[in-house]
Amino acid sequence: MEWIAHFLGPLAPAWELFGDAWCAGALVALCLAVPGVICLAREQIFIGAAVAQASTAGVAVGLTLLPVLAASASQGHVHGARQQAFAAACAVLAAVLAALATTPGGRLRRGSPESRTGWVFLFSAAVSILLLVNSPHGAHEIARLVASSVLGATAGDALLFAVVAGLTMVGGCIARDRLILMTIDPNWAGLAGMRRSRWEYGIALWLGLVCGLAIPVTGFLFVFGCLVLPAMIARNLCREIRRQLWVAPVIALLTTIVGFVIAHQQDWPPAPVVITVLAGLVPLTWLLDQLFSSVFTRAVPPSKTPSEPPQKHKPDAP
Amino acid sequence: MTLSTRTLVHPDLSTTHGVIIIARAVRLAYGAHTILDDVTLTVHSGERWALLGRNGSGKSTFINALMGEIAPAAGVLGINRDLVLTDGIGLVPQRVDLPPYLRTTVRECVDLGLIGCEGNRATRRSRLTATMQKLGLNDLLHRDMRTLSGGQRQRVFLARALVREPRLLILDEPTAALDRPGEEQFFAAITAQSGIRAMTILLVTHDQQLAQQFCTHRAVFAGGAVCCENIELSAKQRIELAGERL
Repeated sequence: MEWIAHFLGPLAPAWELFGDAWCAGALVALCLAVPGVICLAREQIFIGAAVAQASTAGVAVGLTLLPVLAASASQGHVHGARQQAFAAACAVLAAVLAALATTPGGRLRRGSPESRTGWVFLFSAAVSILLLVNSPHGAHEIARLVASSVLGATAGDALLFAVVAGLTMVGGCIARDRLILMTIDPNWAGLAGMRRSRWEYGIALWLGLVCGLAIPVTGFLFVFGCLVLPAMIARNLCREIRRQLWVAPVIALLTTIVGFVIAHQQDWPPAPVVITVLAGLVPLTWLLDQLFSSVFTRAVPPSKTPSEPPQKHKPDAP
Repeated sequence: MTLSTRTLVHPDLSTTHGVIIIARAVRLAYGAHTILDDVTLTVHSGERWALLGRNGSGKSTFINALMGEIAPAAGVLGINRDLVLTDGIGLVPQRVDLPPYLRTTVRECVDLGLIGCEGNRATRRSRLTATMQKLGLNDLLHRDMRTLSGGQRQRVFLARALVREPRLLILDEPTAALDRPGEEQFFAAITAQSGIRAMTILLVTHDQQLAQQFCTHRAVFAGGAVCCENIELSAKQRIELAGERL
């Protein structure tokens, strides 16, 4: 335990100043890791980027619309908490809409989910620049979101994400198997009595809400990174999605803490440090997995079962 | 495929009558394009039906309608209410592909077949163990699904269907990728399972010989119509089938 105290020691003097931000950042990472496993298993990584980008565009829309709405209501300029709250609400709305638009399935949808995801990403990126091209403050806000500065998070943000993390964990535990079934085989999910479209929209709503709430607090880089990278690490470490669903949040939480310590000691921005650490762990765990697989395969050769019939086709490549 | 109770469940059907599926003058269409017209058939408990026909003859459309994916444009298509309520339906699809980067094991995949089934944890575990043993999958329990051959994967998907102990098993060209010994082993496993509980089987196939060997009835899909007939069973087959039902 001494080494933990030694490692976390440097954070103590700055806790009063940055404690809320660190807590909020760690909880955001925890919340994002679970939907990240589902996105990764369904090979929809880019949905995370598109939803995060749409959320950023939502902030831009909020910052553009608020002065117009305030002028029409003869309230003069609106600044501070009200402006932040309005922008955050727009971010959540945009993220939810983007997640719903990119979800697979739906009879009225046109094109593949990938093409819709690409469209959402590009449209959102372009709109967020165009809307704030003549607003120095707004452009600065978007640049801040893209660069990800976790340190602006408040105690209220930490509390909000504590609630979201709790709900995510409870929901994940209750619906774990059904979530996995929807991921592995949606057809069978229908056969097992699950209403596929409702589950698809539910997953999209969950992803949109978490990303939408997280973007104004932590920014694009942190949100997209924490959505995808812990899930990639967990996939390298675990053979089953069930395990990935709890390993990914643990990795996200631990890595975020380590990243914040390094960032504080070196006086670097925390979000890029966390993402760099996570990104570094991906090839490392991949190597570990390869090493473990080769050792395991040598020790226990995967013999065919006695009843295994001869195959006329070659086994599928892994 | 979503089980739509609006189109699927037939309130008048019950196990006491022994009727599992009923179709009366059913017309199935995609928009204005009619695929099947005036389909009439009745499937009783324990019967094994072969759905025969060329590609595009409407076999899969009929299965989709049965699963509630397509609503009949006309007629009545019903499935036994008890089957839907107890989730006693198993499906082995034609394609057993998983996303190439998806990481899951045989155990996890088969275990997911129990979702929606009744029973406590111990019952479910014993079902899982028994099914794995019966299909010779015990050695593959912790294997990554991506490392299995096509035949092994097919058996895993059969295990996922059988672990539900289904009253109705739908096999959509399940042995298309298997050779003859693999095919025989596949159907031997189903026969062993149907001996425990009267299981009705719908087998979609092109193989007349397989239909003759394994099924009691056949429905031939051709030209948008369906022709149903009993299959003449050999004395040996009759004895085997009677033994399974007992």
